[in-house]
Amino acid sequence: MEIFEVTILLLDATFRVATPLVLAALAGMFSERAGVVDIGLEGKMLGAAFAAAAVATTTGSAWLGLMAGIAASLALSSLHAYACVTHNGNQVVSGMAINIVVAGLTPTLGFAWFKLGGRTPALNGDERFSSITLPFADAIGNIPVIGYIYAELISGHNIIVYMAAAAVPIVAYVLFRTRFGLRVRAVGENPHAVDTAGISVEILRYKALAVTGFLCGIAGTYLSTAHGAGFIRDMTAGKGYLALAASYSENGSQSQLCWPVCSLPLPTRYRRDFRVLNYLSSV
Amino acid sequence: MTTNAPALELRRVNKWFGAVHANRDISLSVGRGTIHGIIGENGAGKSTLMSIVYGFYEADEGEIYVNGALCDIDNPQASIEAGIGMVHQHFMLVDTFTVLENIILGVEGGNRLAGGIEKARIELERLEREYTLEVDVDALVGDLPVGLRQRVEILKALYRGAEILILDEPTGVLTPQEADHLFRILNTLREQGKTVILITHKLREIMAITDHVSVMRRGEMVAHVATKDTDREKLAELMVGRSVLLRVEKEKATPGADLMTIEGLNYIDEDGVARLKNIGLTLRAGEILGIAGVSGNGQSELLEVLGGIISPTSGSIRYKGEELVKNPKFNARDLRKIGLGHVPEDRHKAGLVLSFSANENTALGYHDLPMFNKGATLDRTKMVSACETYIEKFDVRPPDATLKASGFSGGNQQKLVLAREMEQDPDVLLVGQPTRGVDIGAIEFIHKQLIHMRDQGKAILVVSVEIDEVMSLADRIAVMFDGAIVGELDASEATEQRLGLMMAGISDQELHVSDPEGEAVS
Repeated sequence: MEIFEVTILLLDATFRVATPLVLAALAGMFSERAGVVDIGLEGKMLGAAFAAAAVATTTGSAWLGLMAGIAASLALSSLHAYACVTHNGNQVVSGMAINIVVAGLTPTLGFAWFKLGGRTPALNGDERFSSITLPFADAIGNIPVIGYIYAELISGHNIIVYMAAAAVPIVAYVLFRTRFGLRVRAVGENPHAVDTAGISVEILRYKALAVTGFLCGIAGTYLSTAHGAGFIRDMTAGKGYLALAASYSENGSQSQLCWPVCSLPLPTRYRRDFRVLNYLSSV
Repeated sequence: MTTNAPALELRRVNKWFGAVHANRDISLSVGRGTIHGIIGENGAGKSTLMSIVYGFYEADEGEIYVNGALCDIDNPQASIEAGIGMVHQHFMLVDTFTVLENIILGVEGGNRLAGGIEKARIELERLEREYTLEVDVDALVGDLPVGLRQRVEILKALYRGAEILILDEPTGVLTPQEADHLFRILNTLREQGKTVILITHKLREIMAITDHVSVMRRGEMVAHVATKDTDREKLAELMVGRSVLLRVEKEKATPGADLMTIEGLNYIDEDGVARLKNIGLTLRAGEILGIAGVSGNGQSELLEVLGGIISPTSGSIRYKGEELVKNPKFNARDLRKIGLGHVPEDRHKAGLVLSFSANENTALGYHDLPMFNKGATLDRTKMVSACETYIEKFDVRPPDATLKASGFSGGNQQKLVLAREMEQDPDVLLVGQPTRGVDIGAIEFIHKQLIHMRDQGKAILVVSVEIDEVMSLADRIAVMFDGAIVGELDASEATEQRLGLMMAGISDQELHVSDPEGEAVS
């Protein structure tokens, strides 16, 4: 029975840790599919994390924080688009510049505004996205296996975890079943084909990067206002790069995308979750 | 819109790129339901002009009329709306998409794809029947041969309701049979009242299919004539501005000793695909061996193996009796030293460093020879003076040894590469696509140089996708298909029909076995 419980705990934690990676990887995939390399995922997430925490602590609303996070990430995304799409700049340089600027700017602004050594004040209550208990979780929680899985694994996450779960099929639908998706996939493969079809490559890439910014904004907000309770400098800790790697390893179909995204959190998981580590070493 | 107005009319169109006057006062009138050829050398401004019509560039001056109505075409969308469709030289298709997805791209008919795709499928079936353009709409474009991809491009234009179809160098990648099929399609289009504009530098095509022809030279329209009132020689003269020899004049070859013998050569690439299959060839002194074939059938790999750039998986290459495979000398640098010159197929990727000056480029590969060095360092003066000699001998323009390679036109770049390899006096010269993207005047010169080298008793291997070039230049012709030599024949026995069938993978023997009546030829 212990193996079962540990597995559930492991999966439960995987959901939580995977959320920002899934969102950021989907974000990275949009820009990658549109033919723009975005190594600025890290910076966008970090910027969003800071903006979300700062606004949440000031206004007392996690939802306003989410808006601010998305807005910050969209702004950085537009900057990337302006440099790379409008002015044909080097995509790696622009992305790296965003990462560096944000890494420096967030603790500086944090220090100037909150005087806490670059952090934002700890968030509590409505300033954070708290766990949601799904209906009947308490009622059926005692049923062995199924009830336990429902109560422990499916229920009890915050809203953004469920958003990330919903984002996967939504993104797959948009990318493979809609006009916008078709055009995004085409512009990444052969921009000339899109151009000759009478579609503006520039506007299309701006749109794709806006989606990237939107998803990254949610991912960053999750880090500071849902998973954590406030902004800490460099709190993305390379998650943007992990997500970038995941978004690159897909090539072709939807199903192939799932594997890297799902498997990525595992190593992070083992490293972080001491309970699992202890269990594994005791076997 | 008046009924007897020309389908497309250009009035005094001008276009500058910086100081370059790419199109000068171009006026053109294309009648509805005709096939109109536009011919000119590379760099004459044909593609620029058509890019203006298709809305890629905006004309600096001038007006475009479609069916008698003035059109303001400043982007491809406007051009599509005016009923103009274009089939580009390099296909504008997404390889990972199906034919259907490629065709509906840009005209999906709604936010969701599902409805639009079904409507498109029905419409395409109708178009395919009407114009004999059969193609499997669910196939991935990347899996289709080039001839079919071109049909997809044509379908794409027709699906968008094009009344005027512009084809930019459509036959460059086709076998003669595929080209004939294309011409039949174009004829059907004409019968259905569509207008076709054919841009090409191949005189044969102009004579075969067009009703009218306009000739461009150096950014200007120099003549408009009815095709039946002219001939190839006259058109060539109009294109170049002087009379040119279309056929290479040469004596019969007097082959000498076998200089290079290739036996059982195989090459399997990193992906495990067999690119060369059991190749056997002999290069003889004083003879030009031509390799014909549709591009992508192993010719590039053959050249790279013989040039020492990649190692064959198995087989033997004997050069003057010495085995080269598994020999420490088997690399591009040492092969040059023992007299194996190599003019690579792609002069931009492999032949030149475009950002280097002409004199640096003409020393590359031979830069450690004393003729370019002083002690341990390169001698710039020697390099420049050597390059100046080459430039004079090969009539490279502009005659500036310090100009960057990217500053020369395609033909002159090719002359620089040829000069570099020929002036080292190799015994065997491997030449890939000697005249790709080179204008007629320079083609004549390059061919003469190659013949001259042959007459000095050198062995030359010419790989070209231009069947005319192989036929006129080579003394013996080997045809490659799918990595193997389909057959080898004497140039005097070669006809376009025969080579064309071999290029499609049908060897002479098979022809006689499976087709005793010779039906495939007719």
